[in-house]
Amino acid sequence: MSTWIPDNPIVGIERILNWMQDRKCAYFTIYDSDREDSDSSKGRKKIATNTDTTDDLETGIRRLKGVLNDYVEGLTGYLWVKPAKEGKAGGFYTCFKIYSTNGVSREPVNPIASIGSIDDLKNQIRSEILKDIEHDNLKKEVLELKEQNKNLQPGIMENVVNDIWGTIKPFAPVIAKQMFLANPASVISGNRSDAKSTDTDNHTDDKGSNEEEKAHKLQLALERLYAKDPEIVGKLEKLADLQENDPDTYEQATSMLDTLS
Amino acid sequence: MMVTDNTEVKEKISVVIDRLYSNDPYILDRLEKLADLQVNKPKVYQNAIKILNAMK
Repeated sequence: MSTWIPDNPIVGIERILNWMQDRKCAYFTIYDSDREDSDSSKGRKKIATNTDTTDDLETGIRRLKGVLNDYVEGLTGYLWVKPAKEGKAGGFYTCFKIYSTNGVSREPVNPIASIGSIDDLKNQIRSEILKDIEHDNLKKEVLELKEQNKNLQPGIMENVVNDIWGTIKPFAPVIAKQMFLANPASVISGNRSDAKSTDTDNHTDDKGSNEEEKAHKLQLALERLYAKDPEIVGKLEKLADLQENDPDTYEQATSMLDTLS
Repeated sequence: MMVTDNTEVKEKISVVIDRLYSNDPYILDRLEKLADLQVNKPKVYQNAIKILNAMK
């Protein structure tokens, strides 16, 4: 048995399903091409859909999972999703390029052209964060992505966002690792003991055994920070709030901090 | 530079470290880096602060 996965593995099929769940997208159609040719003999072929049903959200996503989990290896597909609207499907507005595989991962190839407005893009990538950062290569790549997407139809920018995270992945190894883990929640939301074991897994034993000493040193370091910048404590409290209430944004913030040197 | 002798501040710092660390095992490295940046690369430190300020 093979399974469909996104062309850009950073997206992750679970992220697509969660994304659909959040936006109440109950309906899907998978085509074999992204062309919208009116001549059916030349145009795209419909591989699977539930738009001829009255699936509710739960049923629609369950049906999609079934479709995604059983396909011939090597196919490329275009998954269009849309929300339920008064019992009928609304307009298609988001497309994910996916392909079927036997589970062996591969590097992203030709990420799908992204759809959506430049304003959506700006919001999604937290352009305010990027605005003043002195990292010319990153800024250049983000600006190029914006330019590439400026004329595309309005819609959701999930793909754009994920493409951008793909671009900055080399600068955010921790975030990339979390995204690739089968159960990111175990890393993002683990308790202190989980966190320590994760740390030990990824660092030397010596480093893991010195956590308390490190925390003490950090306390002193932050007190020095406070002496020079009393507002830092408030900022870190805000960061902690963000970590608890909006883990995605927290990841973005910390990944951007990681790029600084 | 002298560290603060303000007990309330020490407590607030301790609490915020604990909160951050409980969900992010890498935060110690990150905050140590932030402290280093403030001392050694003030301009980069300001960029880090801009990132924090940009968070909603």
